[in-house]
Amino acid sequence: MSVWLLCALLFSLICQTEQDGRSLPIKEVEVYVEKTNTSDLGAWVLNVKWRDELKAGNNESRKVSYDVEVYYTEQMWSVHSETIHVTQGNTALHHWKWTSPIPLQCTSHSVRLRRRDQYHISEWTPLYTYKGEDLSATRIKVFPRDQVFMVGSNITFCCILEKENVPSSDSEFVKRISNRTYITKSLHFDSPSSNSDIRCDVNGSSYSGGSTVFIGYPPDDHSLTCVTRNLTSVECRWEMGRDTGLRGVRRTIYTLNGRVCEINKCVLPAVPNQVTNWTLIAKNDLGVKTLTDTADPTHRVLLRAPSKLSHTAHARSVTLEWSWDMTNCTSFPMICRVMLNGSFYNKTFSGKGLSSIVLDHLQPFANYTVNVSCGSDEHFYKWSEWSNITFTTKEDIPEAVDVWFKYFNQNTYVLWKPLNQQQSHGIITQYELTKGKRREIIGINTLCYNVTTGNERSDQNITVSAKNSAGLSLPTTIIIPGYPDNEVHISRISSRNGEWEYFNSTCGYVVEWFPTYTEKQCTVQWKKIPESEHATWYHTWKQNGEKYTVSVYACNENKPVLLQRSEGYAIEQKPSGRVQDLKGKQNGRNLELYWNEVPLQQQKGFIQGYKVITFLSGSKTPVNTTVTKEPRVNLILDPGTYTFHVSAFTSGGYGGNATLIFNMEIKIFQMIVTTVVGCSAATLVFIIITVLCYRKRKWLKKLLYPDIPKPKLAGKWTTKGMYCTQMTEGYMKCEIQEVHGSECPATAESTHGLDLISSNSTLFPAKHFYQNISESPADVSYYPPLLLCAQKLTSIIENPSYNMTIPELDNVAQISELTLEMQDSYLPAPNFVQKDFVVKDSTCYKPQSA
Amino acid sequence: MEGAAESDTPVPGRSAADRAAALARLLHRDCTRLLELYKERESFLSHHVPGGERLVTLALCPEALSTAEQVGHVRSALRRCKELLECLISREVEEMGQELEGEFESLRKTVKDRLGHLVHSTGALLENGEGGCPPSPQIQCDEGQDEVEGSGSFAAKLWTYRVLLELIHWTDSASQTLHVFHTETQGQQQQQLL
Repeated sequence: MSVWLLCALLFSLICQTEQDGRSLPIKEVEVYVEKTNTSDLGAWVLNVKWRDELKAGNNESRKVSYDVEVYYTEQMWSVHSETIHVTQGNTALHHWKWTSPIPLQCTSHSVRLRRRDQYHISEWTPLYTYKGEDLSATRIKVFPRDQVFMVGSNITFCCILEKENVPSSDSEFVKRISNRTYITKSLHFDSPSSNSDIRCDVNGSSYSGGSTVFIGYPPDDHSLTCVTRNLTSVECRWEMGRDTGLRGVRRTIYTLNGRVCEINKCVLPAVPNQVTNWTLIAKNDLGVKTLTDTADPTHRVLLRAPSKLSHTAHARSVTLEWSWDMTNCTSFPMICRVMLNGSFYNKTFSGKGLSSIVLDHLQPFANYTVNVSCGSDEHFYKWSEWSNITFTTKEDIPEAVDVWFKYFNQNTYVLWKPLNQQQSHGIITQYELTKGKRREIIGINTLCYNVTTGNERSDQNITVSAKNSAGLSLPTTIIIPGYPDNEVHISRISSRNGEWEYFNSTCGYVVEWFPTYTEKQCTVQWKKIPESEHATWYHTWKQNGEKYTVSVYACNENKPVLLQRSEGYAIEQKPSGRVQDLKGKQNGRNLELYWNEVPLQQQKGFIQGYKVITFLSGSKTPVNTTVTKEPRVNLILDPGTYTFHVSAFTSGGYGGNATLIFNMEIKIFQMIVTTVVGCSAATLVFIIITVLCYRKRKWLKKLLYPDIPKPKLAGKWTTKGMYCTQMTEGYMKCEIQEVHGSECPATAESTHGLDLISSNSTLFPAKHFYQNISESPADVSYYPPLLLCAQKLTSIIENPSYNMTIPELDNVAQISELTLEMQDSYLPAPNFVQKDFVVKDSTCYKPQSA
Repeated sequence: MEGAAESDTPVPGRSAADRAAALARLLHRDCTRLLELYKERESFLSHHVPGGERLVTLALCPEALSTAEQVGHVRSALRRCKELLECLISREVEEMGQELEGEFESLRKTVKDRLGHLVHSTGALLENGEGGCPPSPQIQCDEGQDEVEGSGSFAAKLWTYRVLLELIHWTDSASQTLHVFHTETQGQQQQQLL
């Protein structure tokens, strides 16, 4: 049973489904495009409307879907399919929009639909077609054209050709979608351009079509601000946004509260004391931008710049007048500010309908540029633009002249400073100088006047005034003291520069200064220092290395009294000049260098000393460096050629070198004189000593060589001669006959000798004799007793020349050549030596020259 | 402007025909330059070869024309050209706005002024105004634009291009015709002097 029931239910459902599929609930289908200004040039949105007959019951809703398919009609290419889900209520009308990738004019588009719900799927509707222009166009047409697109858009163009035509090979229309329609690929436009073109050339024909489209941005303006300038109209302005890229008829159109505006300005009537809304709509083909502003116009008063600004100038004030380009300004409270020569005036001015102000405390005869701007004083919003005017104040009498005096070359001068623009109050035409009852008119170029009267010992009372078109200045009186009797002591400026001792002055102090070395009658400068100020003066001299003389005066009842005078340099520099006349003077090995100091104007500071560098000529290494405070120096130098560099120095450094090349030489004449004098002195001393010795010789002899008592002999001495005989075999035989002396002392050694002699004859081998003598001179000393005796003996030899006749004494021939010389009482010993043999020193023997 | 002194500064001793011929030559150069500038601005026209008929034709004149009649003929064409140029300017101003003031816009105004001066000058050369040709009907600004392919801005650009070509053609024709006219007039004057 249940099986039969189930089969029956299934059959029933199948039958119902087949019945619903055949029924078509979608009725009144309408396919169209919306008409706009540019839809004829390219329509992109396809609208489909239909009515569903199977609407839900009252207060009942159910979900329904519709399948929609879009085709290119001619080729029946499906270009879009979509299922639309709707909740169907009481309304059975449906509207679906589809945006086509190509303009709908390019070719015909067909749409069909079917209904789908939880239980049923209807049949497809017939095709509903929107006809393209490819069915009717008689000439080439390109879509879209003359349309505006947003930057960044992708656009597909289509070209409808005439029958049988095809696009040229280089055309961008590459895809055929109908018999006459070709489309491009999707083209990307990424920058604004007032126009972009695409051509559709026909193959084999000169005819061509094309399209121009415009790429840009929607409006992007901002900051709408509305102000009133005259309380009758409101002027609204706004900041322009980025350039839309669209021009001409496609530009952005602005409307303010429905009124078309200029590019960035709009004017509407003002309704004072009422809050007003202003709405600006900026619109172009790509979009709309709405800006709003709300305010009471009286709170938005931005006055125009004061107009017709005029002036009435006086010496120290000016009256400014202007007018307003608004009718109801007289009751409007205003506040105005003034800018005077670029600086704000120290006060503002306010009043209803303000149109005149007075500026005071101005400088006479000065150019001024005045700017005036005003605003609402009640509900201040903003200052107006500036109005400006330039004027010159009138002249006034000059300020008093600053007067001073100067002695120069026994003359007295009065000096005064020229008045600057702030002091002159006009154009100075002359100066008037009064001395006693005499009045002098002095031209404006003279600032120094000789008031010497000849009686310079007395004080002079001088008065000076300046004059311009407004009159004479107040007179300045100075009492010039008589010419000083004594020279003024001038000190050096110390570290306490510019300070002076307190002095009981009644009218302050005066400091004057002038360049020391270029003093003229009018070069002095001065500064008057009030008594109330500290007795200190500082001044920056422009020129370093320049020596200035600074004097301090105390002013006492207009009469200056000199307190102190000093000289100095602001900043010392190294000397710019060199020492002068560098010279040298030699005295033996001493050299004195001396020079004159650096010229005063070139010293550039106080000279602290001099540096002397000594070089040996040809050498770069100094042999001596000396620093001296005096302009001279003594040097001890060896003979030679020297180069001396002498430079003066100050605290600022060393100056340039003065150079001297000097040759230190020994003088021959001087040396000879010295030698001769020395020798003469020695000779004289010797002579004196000799004379003294001669005259005192007895005393001297007695002192040095007292007499030796004579020995007393007992017997007699033989005084016979000596005989020598040549023997055979080289021997010589000498015989002394009766040689008996009493004077030869008898010593132990001599005793032996005497013994030999007393034997009457001695035999000497001759050869051995010579050899002993020659080989060992010391051996000679072995015989002194003999020789000593021999000496004494010679006195009795008759032949003093020693030319003894020795028969056949050939072997000792040399002996005969010897020359003996007798001296005093001594006898020379026989010189038994060869020519080159010299016997030195002997107690009883004095060598003689051969 | 090149050659500006040639036309703007009157040269003593030159005849009116000579001056008109010089002005036509100058105008021809201006129009040639104007086309170059336009092609620079509208680059798609760089290789464009316009099709269709001439915008300015004067078909009603008899075949055999004297030089003076040819001058009148040319003058009539120049007047048409001037009208076309005025249409062109007004259309571009509407399309592009007033704010564009480049070299093209400046030269375009100069050409318009000189073209008017040339029309006036050639008219003064002719004793009976138009010479042998009847006056052409005045051109309407939208006339001719439908004859080009397509429509809208693109069509206007093609039309502008054709107008500029007409200007070049007729100013060249005017310079040649006026030169011949000047030569003949000068010869006649010399014969009269002899």
